[in-house]
Amino acid sequence: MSMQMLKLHWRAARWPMLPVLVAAFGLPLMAGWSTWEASGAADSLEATSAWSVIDGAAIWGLGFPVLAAIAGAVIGLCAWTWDHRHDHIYALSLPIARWKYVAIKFGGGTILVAATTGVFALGAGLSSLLADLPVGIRGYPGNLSIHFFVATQTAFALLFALASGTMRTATIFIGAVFALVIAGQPTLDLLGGFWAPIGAIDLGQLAHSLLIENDGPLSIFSGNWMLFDV
Amino acid sequence: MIHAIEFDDVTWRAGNDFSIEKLTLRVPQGSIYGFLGPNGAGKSTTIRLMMGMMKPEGGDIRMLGESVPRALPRVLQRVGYVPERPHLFSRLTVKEAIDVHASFHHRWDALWATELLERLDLRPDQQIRRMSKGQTGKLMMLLALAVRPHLLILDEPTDGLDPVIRRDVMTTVLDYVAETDATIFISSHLVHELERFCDWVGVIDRGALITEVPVQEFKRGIKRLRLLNARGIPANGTPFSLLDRIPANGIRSCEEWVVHGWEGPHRALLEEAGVTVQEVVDLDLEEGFVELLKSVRIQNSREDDR
Amino acid sequence: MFDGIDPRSPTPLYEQIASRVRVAVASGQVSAGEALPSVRSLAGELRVNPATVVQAYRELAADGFVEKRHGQGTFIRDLPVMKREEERRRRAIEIARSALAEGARLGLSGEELLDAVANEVRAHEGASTEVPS
Repeated sequence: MSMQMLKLHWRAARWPMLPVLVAAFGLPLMAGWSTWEASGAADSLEATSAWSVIDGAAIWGLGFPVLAAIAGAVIGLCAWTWDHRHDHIYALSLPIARWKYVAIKFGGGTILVAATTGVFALGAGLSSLLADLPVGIRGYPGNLSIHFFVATQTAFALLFALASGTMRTATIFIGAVFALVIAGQPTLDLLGGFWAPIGAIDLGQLAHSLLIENDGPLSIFSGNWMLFDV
Repeated sequence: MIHAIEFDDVTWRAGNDFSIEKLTLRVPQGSIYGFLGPNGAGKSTTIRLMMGMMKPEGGDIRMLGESVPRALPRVLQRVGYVPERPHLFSRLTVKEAIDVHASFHHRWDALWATELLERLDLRPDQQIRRMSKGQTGKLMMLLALAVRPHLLILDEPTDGLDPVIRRDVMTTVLDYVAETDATIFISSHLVHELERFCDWVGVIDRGALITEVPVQEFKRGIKRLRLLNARGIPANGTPFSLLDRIPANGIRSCEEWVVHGWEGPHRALLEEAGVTVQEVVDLDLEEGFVELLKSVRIQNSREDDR
Repeated sequence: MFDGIDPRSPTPLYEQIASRVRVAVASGQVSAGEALPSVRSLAGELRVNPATVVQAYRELAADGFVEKRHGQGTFIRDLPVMKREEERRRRAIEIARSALAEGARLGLSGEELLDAVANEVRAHEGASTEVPS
């Protein structure tokens, strides 16, 4: 039963996951590859090469949380795409409690998240092994992979929950988020013309402090994403 | 009598448009129960309530002796269900769909499933989304049967299928029933099909059950009478109920009465009142069903007008 | 033997099935000791409720036309000649009755029908010596 459900999940997700898996393996490798360039360019000044490796890691580090978010979202959404097609009738007709069905699906998705992390870890590990690192700088593929797992799992859980509802609720929710992101601040600024306190609200700041600062739900996406560090 | 399905005063509402009010229904164990009704009468809704896909607002539902939805999902292990529209994951092959279904059902009979594959002429490697409507219908029936159900709930399983496939599917179902003691609850528009093998019939219209009787009783009791000298004779106070009355005109020299609950001795009663009974015509299940519906609706609209 | 079973007819299906068997026995179409199809296969073939077939066989057994041998199936009994004759007579009367009823509806008298039958018999006397199948 669980095996079959995992198979179904994989079947629904395998094509969208292909580019994600390629990126999961490739992105950390690219981060390592850039160290070859860095060290090659300025081998006389060790201090400079160290900084350029760190800078490089920081830049590549921006891509990792994005990748984690996308990977988690894909796995979360694909968990439910097949069910939605016929209004969940098949699942509803099965002799299994709804909560159990959801739990097994969630477990299956977690396995897929772990597998993606595994691919990422392979890339990060290989990258650390092959990187040309100056003294004092080392690779943290293990830490990075754990960070990646937790972030991906968070994104997965969020999108899983969202996608499990009706298409209508999901669309409304995503639409609302989109609207906020695109038109939220401009609207507040406009209204600020009439009443100053509204114009003073910075949506970006607000979102940041609510969601990311102080261990907010999305805080996992911030923090240290550097493959190479001191 | 033990019942496979029991509805007691079940109520369910969907806004102002449609509702099921105090529906009471009894499907005897081991019977083949045909559920008839026009489109929109509530057939599929009743089935969804039975399966626990929707929750009733009032009343009790029991399936195979257990209370629904409390005994769900356990009871569903013994139920085979074929919905109105295809519901399987269409990117799977026949074999994959079988494997998925088998993994959820304890009573799955793999040998029987293989036999059914051959009988219903399905190939394991066919992709469901490339299959014709008939083949999908056959697959859904295969899955429902292979769990060795005690109760088969079929929501218009053969509507829209060609006669050859209909035949194959129903033959297989009847074969299963002959071997086990399964109950079949089948809703369909194809009244003539149901007439072949149903022993009970339940008629639903606008969310209410109009009648629930053995098929033979239904057919025996509904007749079309061709009468002479019947003009002016009041029809109330008769032991049978008058469903429709068509006066004589031109071509039709006789007045026609469609009655329900007709029995042989009633003929004498009419003749005593001076009416000549020219002919008593038997109606088949479909004609009877149509006449019954017509009369119920006329009656309802009269009540609404009052 | 079971062609043309009509579910729409007011005659119950089990009666139609049983009737076919009786006619087959009376006309010598089936002989004693022959097996009737199993309930399962006949129900499937005719697409009728197995309970219907069971009822038909039960009626036939009660009338003495068939016997059920436990575990083996249902078999045609060896009917005494008299019984077969009885059945043939019954059938003939049934046919005559429905012919007369139909005739009455069309305004034909018994005499007219008798004449018609006599004519037909004479016309076909020479032609058919084969047993109808």
